[in-house]
Amino acid sequence: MSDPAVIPAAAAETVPDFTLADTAGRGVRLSDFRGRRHVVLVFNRGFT
Amino acid sequence: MAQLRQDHAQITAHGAEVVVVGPEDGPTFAAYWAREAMPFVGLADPDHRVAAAFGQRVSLLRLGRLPTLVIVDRQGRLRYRHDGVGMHDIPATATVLAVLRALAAESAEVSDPADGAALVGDAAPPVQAAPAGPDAEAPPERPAPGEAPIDDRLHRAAGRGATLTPSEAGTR
Repeated sequence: MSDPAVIPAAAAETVPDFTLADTAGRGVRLSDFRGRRHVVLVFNRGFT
Repeated sequence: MAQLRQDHAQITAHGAEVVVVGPEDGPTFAAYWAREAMPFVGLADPDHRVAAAFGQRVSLLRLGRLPTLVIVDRQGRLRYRHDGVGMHDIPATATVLAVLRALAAESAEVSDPADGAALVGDAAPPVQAAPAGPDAEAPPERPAPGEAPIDDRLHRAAGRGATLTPSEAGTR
């Protein structure tokens, strides 16, 4: 398949950080992944 | 979601975590997650605060939120974005993997010493955050009365926070 439009590092903006509770009630902060893992962040449309 | 669940292992094998943010309240979200045995992180965002911060679109015609997928690299930067135009419009796993491969290739290309130093710097804070024993080499926070002038103390404080090796520091 063709290459997806990856935003070049030089033009990439830092995303806003946030903390939300996971399904076990623990707080998960986006920046907790920084320096360790990329994050595929999906904003769902809802399942109800 | 079914596609993400099926391909989750491939995505994590490429150095990424999948995090799903949804508009349901916490209990509804948790019940769905348990029922469907979702293998990735699910975060309830019932007031849509985070969705709004990331610009998730809402279709009035379709009466609902449109799926949005973004890929944030290890440095916390937005590197890919797909705003769905339909209710089930999210990128194919092959697209997600292609982005992750591009990010991997990019970090493999890093040969600039400045970039290398930046990576070391990113990794350094947790180490530095470890409790320092009484024998730590850091100079005392408070100088004795009449000791170093403020400029010198600031200089030393800045040097403590940096990750230069002694030889590098000596070239300054």
